[in-house]
Amino acid sequence: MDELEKYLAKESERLKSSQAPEELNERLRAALEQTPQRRKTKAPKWIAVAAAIMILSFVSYNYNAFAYYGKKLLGYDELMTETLAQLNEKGSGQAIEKKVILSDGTELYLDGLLTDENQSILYYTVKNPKGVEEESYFDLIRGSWTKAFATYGTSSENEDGTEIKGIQAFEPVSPFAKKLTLEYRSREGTEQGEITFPYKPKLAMQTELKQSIRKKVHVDQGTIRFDSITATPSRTTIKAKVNVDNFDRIQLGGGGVQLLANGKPVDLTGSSSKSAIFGQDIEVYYDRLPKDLDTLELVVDKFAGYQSLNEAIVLSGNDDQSEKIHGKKLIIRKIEKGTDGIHVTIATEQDVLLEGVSIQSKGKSTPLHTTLRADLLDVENGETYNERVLLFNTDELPDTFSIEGMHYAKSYGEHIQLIGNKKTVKGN
Amino acid sequence: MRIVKLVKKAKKGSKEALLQLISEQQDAYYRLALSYMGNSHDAMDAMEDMIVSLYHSIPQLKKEESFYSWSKTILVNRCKKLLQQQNKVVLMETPDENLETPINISDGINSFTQAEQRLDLKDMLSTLNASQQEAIELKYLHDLDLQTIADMTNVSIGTVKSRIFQGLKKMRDQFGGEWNG
Repeated sequence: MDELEKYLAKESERLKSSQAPEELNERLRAALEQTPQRRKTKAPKWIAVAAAIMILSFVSYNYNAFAYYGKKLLGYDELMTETLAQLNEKGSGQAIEKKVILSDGTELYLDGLLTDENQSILYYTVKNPKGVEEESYFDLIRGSWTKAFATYGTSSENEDGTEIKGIQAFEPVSPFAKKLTLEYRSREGTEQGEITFPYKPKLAMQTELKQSIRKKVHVDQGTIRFDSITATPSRTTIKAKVNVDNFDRIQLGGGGVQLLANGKPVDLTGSSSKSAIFGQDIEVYYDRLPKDLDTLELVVDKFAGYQSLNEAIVLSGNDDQSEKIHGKKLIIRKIEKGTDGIHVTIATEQDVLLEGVSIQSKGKSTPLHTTLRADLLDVENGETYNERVLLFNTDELPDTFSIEGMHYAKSYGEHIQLIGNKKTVKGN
Repeated sequence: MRIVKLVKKAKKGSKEALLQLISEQQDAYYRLALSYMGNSHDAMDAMEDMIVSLYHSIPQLKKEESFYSWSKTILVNRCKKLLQQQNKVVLMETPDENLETPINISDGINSFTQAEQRLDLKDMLSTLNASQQEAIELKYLHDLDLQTIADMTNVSIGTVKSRIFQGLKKMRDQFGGEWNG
């Protein structure tokens, strides 16, 4: 290393003393929270077969309905859910038919777009005789009053790896947009570009049911206010405002809310939440509603709950001490003396969060100082455990471990009738 | 391999894992963004863009262990895009002549020791052309490897090497004989 390089190394060291502003971490967290959950799924084979049969039988007697998608339609059957396949049969949506060539020669075809008030679904094809990579190519769609982020996607590759067909869903686009711009990425996300195409809002699918709910459900630590239901051909969305303490400390979100149509649960397809002023806005997604709707009801089956415990666990001194508290498993992995105090490593099921934790030694109680680390661990039986290391400001190894309460996924069974009367029990 | 584990979790969709990965090298990301954006506000904006972009593209990352060079490449791309949107001058393809004004050292003494007192690194780098400057900053100030720099600047490793070599040479020529070793 010569003088100049030594000087540069010194400058580099000097630069390293400059640190990121404290608020950065919070900003990153907020940015990430506002991003809709990414989901990537592979459609099971039986759907492909079912869809293929349905499409073939349809082609035979109503060819004109394919005006929008044309010949591309048949390539997607393997990927589509039953609901999407049915919509495709009707020729819903609009053709885009645009192509971009990426820097490595890969051709990206935008085939069609299916839109409604709940979401937008893009059908695309990626081709390269030298081979293609299965990746998610899209970030968002921009346009007038429109900033629709990508939500979930699914794709499949042909046998020799030269072509991919994919479906990518986005948030809904505005009915006032006349042009849409799609941002895409490639080469593991390092190359970016965009493509603009005309959009015809009148080809968007009509909303089938939209009603406000305005009902509150009380849970242990607050309330859920169900605001609205929007059912479109591609999806049913329930919007709610959650004002519940520690709602986001367990990873359940709105996933425990059921939608029953004619007494039968509609398939839950996902849920999302983002922070708002005073609480969180959540959305829960279900499949399309059945055609003839006699009754429609919401059931809060499971939601964030709180159980007061005030329990003291006598520590055996062994590693991996296993306890049951209010039916939930708690493993005290190990207790160690560190330079900064006592470290207690515990693991619980993912949907459990302990509150008011302290340790006692010789009659003296020490409250939790801080949590040093939290990791999600997959255990053999397929369950995920949340392991964390708790720090207590004391030098004494504890005799007991006390817990005031826990947050967990609690069964409520609260019921809201949206359409029709509640099914009466036979005999009443 | 804790990092690889975290990357795998992030690939499965864990936002928490992704945040953990970023916060482990938060300062390095921030310095990198800052050197492109020039101010703290824009640097943080670029990092917000980056984390959203990472969240969506992480399933495509094949080598888990190269998470950091990959994510930094994305950060640099985001920075360049933001700069383009702001219509600021982007550090690319500026003709050499325009930037090659030698620094005028008034007392005419050109030795390193004296130069060090009056010139900070920025001034010295500003005598190079934009792509040499970028390559040298990425290598020496942000400790990135040549392959990553090549990915970030969209050129071959050979070009990166030559930019660094030429850049260092120019700096040595300008700022005194002692640096020739």
